[in-house]
Amino acid sequence: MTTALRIRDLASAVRSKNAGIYYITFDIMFDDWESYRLVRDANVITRESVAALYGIPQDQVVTVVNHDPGQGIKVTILRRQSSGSPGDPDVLGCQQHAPLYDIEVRADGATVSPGVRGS
Amino acid sequence: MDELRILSATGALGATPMDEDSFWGGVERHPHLIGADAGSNDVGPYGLGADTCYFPREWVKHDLRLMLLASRQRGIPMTVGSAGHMGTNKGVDYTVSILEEIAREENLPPFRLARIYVELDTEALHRALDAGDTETLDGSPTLTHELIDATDHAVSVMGAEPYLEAFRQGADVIIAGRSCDDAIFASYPIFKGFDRALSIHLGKVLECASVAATPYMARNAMLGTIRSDAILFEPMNPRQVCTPVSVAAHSMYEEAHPHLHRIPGGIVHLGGCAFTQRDARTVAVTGARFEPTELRLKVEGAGFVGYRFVGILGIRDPLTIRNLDRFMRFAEERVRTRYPQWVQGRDYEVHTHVYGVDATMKDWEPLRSDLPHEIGIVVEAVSKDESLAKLICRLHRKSLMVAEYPGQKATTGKAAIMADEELRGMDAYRWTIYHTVRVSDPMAHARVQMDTLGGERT
Repeated sequence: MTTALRIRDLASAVRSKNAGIYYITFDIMFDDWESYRLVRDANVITRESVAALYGIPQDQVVTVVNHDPGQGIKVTILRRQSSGSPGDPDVLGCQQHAPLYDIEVRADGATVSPGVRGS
Repeated sequence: MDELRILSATGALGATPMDEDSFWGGVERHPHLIGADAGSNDVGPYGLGADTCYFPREWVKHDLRLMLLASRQRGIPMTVGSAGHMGTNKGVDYTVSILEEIAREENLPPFRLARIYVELDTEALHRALDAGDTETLDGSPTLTHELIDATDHAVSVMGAEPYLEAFRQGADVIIAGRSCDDAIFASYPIFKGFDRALSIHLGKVLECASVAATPYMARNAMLGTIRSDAILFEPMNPRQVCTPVSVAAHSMYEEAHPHLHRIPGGIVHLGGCAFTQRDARTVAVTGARFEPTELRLKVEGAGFVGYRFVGILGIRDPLTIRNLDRFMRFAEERVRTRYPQWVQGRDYEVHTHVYGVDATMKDWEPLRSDLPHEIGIVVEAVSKDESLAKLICRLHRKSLMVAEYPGQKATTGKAAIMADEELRGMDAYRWTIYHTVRVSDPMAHARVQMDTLGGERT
């Protein structure tokens, strides 16, 4: 039995932020190439997994991109309303990332949840 | 000219006072231009809609003073983009009025000032819509005349061209309205004949100044250098360094896609970039590629929604917390039935934010069923009728205090309050326009005004 590692243990930064007024974008960043490669190749951060994690339709996941030079994975989703209009609970979009912490990756790097990566 | 050095003074002019040591350290490196981004749409539609500058005047003046003094001492141009925070005409004039004060206080000799205005009147937008020249952007709704009519202020987001025009007219100092962040820094190298894609990439990294270096620091200066085939970045705070990863990672920041950077009339492709450590603190970047597209300018608009009142309550009773949904529904129902003549969504809107449960993530919250021992509720009521906004806020808050559910034990009051009051919030605005407009001329929405400042004796 191979133990699972979580994103919070592997990534050096996990953050969310507005990208314009209709998007919230997530950056999952790594200090070392090996951790980045492990998560990237495990294919656990996908359009499907993000949609499931946030309970949103897959077409509201705008992009999932691996950014090799920056050792980071970027996910962008549609906001439910434009930033800062009445009722918006997070004007800056900076507190939407917490569910990503607990995505699991098997320590041997094997894929645990196959998915189609968008671009 | 073999290379051009651009000093980014701070990532957000006036947001907090910039770091002076790293700024003057950067000035010692003989930059050819000093620039700073003064604005953002990040904090929501209020600034644009109400046409106000959030940042404290003292801090804006602090940052402008350092930049203007260095610019005039060295005889090099200076650029400020998205002046006054949202880059409205008033924001530009407000920033210039502070510059005038500084020029007087410092007895500065005369210099040429360019103001660039990009605020749009709604008539121009109605015409663009009728001509079929507007397009949605990033999931914004289809533009309508109703949305345009609901707009109090709209700005066009300028690329490099209006800056180029100001440089052609001999500007020493450019105070520009709403700008693409990159243009504030990229326009001067483009003006001097450097590669457009490299210039834009340089500007894109420089706009947040020290944020592209590590460890993380805000409001510290960053030096960018452009040559014929590469751009280089070096942080001006000696405690920071640039690494290939820190610079590459910055292209993810606040962008939907790390490899595609859109500007008016083109896309800069960053997917093929190479990042190389040049010395202990400097990184060189190559490979940005420009692809021309149809010329479209982004337009941002915001409009008044209503007056806002806020009420705050605390709940500690575990039975109430366990029956939260029923409890909340009771209050909503009571507000709805008490005043049937006023309709939620038409005459007012009311939003409840339940801290401790799902206030921050709403329907995206995966842990909603993990109930805590205490919750806080913020009631937000908005209406164009100020007294109705206050009344609805009060009614909803009071209804929560007496809401009923089966099995309740506490009958004196369901919520604790710090004080029996509604708080007047900032007026509520919303984004009305976030679209592109097809134009034939990159200057279509811009007006450059030249003046001479300084040369006055106090």
